[in-house]
Amino acid sequence: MLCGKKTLAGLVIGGALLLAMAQLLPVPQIIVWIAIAAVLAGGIGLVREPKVERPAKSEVQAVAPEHVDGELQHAMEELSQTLTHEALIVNQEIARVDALIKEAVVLMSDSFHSLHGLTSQQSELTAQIITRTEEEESHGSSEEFNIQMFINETGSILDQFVQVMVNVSKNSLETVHYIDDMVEKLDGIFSLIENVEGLASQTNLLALNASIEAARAGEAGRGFAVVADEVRTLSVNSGDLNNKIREEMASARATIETLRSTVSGMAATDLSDTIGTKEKMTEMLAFMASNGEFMNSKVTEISQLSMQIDSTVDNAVRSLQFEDIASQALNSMEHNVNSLNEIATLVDDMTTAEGNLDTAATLRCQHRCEELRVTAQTRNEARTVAQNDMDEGEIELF
Amino acid sequence: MSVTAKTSDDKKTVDICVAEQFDYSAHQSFREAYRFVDQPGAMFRVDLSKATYMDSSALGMILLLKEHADSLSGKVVLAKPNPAVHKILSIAKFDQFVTIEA
Repeated sequence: MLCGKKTLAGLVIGGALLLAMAQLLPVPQIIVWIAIAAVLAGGIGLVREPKVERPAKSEVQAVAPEHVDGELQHAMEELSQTLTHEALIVNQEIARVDALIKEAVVLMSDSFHSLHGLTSQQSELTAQIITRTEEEESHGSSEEFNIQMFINETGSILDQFVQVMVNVSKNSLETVHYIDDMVEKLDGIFSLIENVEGLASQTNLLALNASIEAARAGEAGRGFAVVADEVRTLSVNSGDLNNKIREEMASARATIETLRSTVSGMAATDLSDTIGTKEKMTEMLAFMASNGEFMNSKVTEISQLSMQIDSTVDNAVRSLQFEDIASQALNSMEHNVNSLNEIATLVDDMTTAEGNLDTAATLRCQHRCEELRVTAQTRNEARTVAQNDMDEGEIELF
Repeated sequence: MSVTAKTSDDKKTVDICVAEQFDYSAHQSFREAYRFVDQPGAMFRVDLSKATYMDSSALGMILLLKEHADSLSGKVVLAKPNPAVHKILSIAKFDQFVTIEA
């Protein structure tokens, strides 16, 4: 009996301690409830104990059956005071938590709202980038600067340049061929001039012979000697003329040689640089194409990401409904605390000022406790059904 | 000689083989290789397998050979160019009007 009483008192004090700890440490709500339940159970047990055991007690202690044990009375007073005190602190904490949650929810809601604004701005920007690249790709925006078109144009100009170069080479070579042919003809003329020179020297020889014959003829050949002399002069003159022609021809040939080497210079152009440039341009085009593709895919990924961020923000905003649930929970805690206060008063009333047990008050307390327990149970059941799922119902951002 | 030429007995086919450097220095011997071929429908086969370098005058020579072949209603075939030479031929778009054999 005494042992049972001590257990109950321990339960009360343990619960009270737990409650006190709950004030100091941020413990889950369930522990607070356990503590309150322990205090209640212990308190109710203490209150009930004497009543149930009363017949036996009266048998043992025949004197003053209605007299409450001093120890028990003291415990009940402590219990009543502790309950009142704890209820006060719990109420304070409830008010504080409620305020904190409200403030935090407002802040969070604001930041989610601005986050939503920022992501929609971001999506808009990426959408602009996508539209612009698509436009550039589809109709090459003739007025704007388009690198791909520029490279293509440069490529075709380079092609033209190669064509021109090859044509110049071809024409130069053809010219060189003609010059070669001309030089061949010139060589022919040289040999002809040599023939003419041969004729001149033969004529000279012939004129010499004629003048010898004329000298031998004496006075009769005098006139012939003059003719022979003239013929000789002519042959010398024609020899001089031939030499002049040969000189002129030689200088013409030198000029033609110069012409030939000049034209040759035009014929040969190294194509390595052109080929290098052409290859670089092809590489650049390929790089630009792949670069564009890469950019497009990444920008698309970014825009998809912003959509995901949006839905995440929506989820977070939906989670802010916990404020409602939390304030409902706090509200119902106030009910429980009020019950605690009431019980504290009832427990206090159980003993009279003289230290005797007030039977009527005890009964009242017992009934009231039962009522309160039933009410608390009913409310708790209703709450667990209503408040378990936060995901129910979508919330639209305002 | 930087260019060697071999004309078939029926003078219908001319095999022209060019040396490593196919440039301006080859132009005279290259011309001599086809200059006096006047057989209608003659086929000129230029063996490029030895050539490692080619400048624009080589392209000019091939064009002149092509003109000569065209005047005979003949044909020009470029044979076995190495990758570098083939690149030059395709950049000058020769592959569009001359047959190139691998």
